Amino acid sequence: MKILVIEDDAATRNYLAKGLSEAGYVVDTAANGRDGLFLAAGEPYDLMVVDRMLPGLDGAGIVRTVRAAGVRAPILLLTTMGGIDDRVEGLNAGADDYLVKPFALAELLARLNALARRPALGSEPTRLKVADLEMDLIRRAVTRAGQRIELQPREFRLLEHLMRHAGEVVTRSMLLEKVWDFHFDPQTNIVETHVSRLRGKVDRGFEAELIHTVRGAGYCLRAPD
Amino acid sequence: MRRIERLGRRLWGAAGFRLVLLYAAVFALSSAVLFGVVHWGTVGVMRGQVEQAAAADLAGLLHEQATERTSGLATVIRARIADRASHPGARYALFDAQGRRMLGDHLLAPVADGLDEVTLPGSEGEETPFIVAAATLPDGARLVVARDAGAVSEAAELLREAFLWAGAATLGLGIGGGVLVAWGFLRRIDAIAAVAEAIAAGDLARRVPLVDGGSGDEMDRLAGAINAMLDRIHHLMDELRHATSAIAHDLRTPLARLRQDLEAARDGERSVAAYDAAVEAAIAETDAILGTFAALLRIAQIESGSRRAGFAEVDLSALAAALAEAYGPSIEDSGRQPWTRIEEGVAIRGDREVLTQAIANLIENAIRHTGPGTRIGLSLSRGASGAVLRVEDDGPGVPEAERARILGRFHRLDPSRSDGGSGLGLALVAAVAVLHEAALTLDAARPDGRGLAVSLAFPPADGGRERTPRRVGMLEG
Repeated sequence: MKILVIEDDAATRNYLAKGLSEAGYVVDTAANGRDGLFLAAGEPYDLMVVDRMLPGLDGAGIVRTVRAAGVRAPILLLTTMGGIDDRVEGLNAGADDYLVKPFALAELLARLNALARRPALGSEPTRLKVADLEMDLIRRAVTRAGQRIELQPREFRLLEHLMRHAGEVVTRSMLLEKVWDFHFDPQTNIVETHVSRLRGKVDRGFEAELIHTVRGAGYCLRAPD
Repeated sequence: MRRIERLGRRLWGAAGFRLVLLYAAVFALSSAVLFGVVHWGTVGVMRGQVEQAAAADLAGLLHEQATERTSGLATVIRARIADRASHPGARYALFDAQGRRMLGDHLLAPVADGLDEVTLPGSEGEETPFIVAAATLPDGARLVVARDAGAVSEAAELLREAFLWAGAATLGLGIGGGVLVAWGFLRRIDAIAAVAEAIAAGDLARRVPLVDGGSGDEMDRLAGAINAMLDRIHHLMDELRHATSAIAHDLRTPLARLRQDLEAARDGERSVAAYDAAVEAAIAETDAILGTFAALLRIAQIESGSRRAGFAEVDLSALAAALAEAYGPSIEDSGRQPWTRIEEGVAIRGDREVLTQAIANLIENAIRHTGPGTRIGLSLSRGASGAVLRVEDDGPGVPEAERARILGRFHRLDPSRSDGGSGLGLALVAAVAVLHEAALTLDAARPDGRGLAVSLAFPPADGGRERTPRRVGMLEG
């Protein structure tokens, strides 16, 4: 996987380059928008990480330009706490996801994984299957080992999100955004509570656990080895 | 001298003064036109009368000549000259065909036929204008009649003088008035400028003085508006100053704790497990600090009002139901009992994202500040004037005196407790309430004074949008 990082702050850029190469990515970096655009236009990248605030051409401008040039690689924007509304502009410009600085590397990796494996448009599956857990998206029915599991609507959405990203780490804040549409960090453990209830229905009484907690990062739904 | 010069330059620069000068010029021009019309109407008519008199006199004499011949005419003229008393302004002269004076006034010359004006010595020897009329008789002799036009020129002179004085007075009064008016305005603008400069230099207590305790003219209205603005800025600055010191104070504690923990890790047991634990603790502490910053920035952003541009229809019923559903399990697991009473189909115009956060904060506050067994309720109803959202608990409640203060930043009911909670939750709710022009009310949930109920009363969905935002704080307890 080739990834391009456009970030003007040298410390953050090196931190990202190091973390991403350790995670197995081939990393190119650019310190400003112009170099970044040059690289993005010339090389086929699988993913791009773009800082929202750059000297000269800013992040949203870069996204707009590369999208206009036909580059389809998923783009993750890095925004600051003060510019929470930047994400709207960034997403409208053609970015696929955003992350608010400062962030944990685990969060960035989880989001990049999710972006890299995003299914191509138009190939939406109607059934999801992980080991013996099956979800019918049309009938909104879930079974495990042939046994019907009754879920609340929100539990269904939570499980759907975990199954769509089976094998990947899904962080707490990703779940808050995608399942609850919460764009803030609640002080209450609502994600933990809901995941624990979901576990009670999906995993309890079955041999192998499918929903795993990844310490310091989030959750992962995967088939037993 | 320099002062006057400077005043002159400033007066010239003053818009009011230039306006007055322009008016003075227009007045002068209209006076000139008026002068022309009056002059033509009086002096012109008077002169015409004299000319008519001269012409008529000449015509009468010519008629005489036609019947009595030139010699008879001479007799008539002589009689007229002799009887000067009854013809005081008239002079006559008769010349032969060669231009020699046959009789009459020796000052008159044999002028050409028709009307003309000449200057002759008057009855007292002063130069006086005369209108002369001359005609050639059939035998070649020339008859000249002159009429005194002194009265006409005197009237013209009087008229000119009157208009000169009047014009000078108009111009003088105009410019003088302009100077006074412009000077008055300049003085008051100087006062405002002086206040603005003093405030820019840091003296925030200065205000623009009102004339006569505010007579209500435009300048006083301007001064009043500026003073109101200054009061608001002053108030905001105070708030900011308070918030800044609160932030400094509130962030010192976790930073000091972080430092202590790191120091303890350095000096303490040197094992991987101990380091791991110390790093975990440091990250958690740092996250809490970052969370506080995020909450502060969020509140600042909401207070800036910029989100109002993104207002859209929000289904408050669906939002409340989703929040109840999200928090229900957490409330149950914490040993408390959730309940809801949500009316269907209640919608307002607003910002969904911050409304979600505000309601979530209220629910989390209710969980954090009550004991197990507490009932926590979320209700939404269509009130008399608009939607009313209410989060209540039957816990210990908040003393009435404390209720206003807990809306401020970094206010915690129990300072010794620092279990999560940045002390910013309700401050954010207050900011969201102001953004939505909603009235935020805190009161006891139960008649016996126990429990806390926080209500957000939104303005009616239709009429509430164009109003100016009002400050919302504590209403009746």
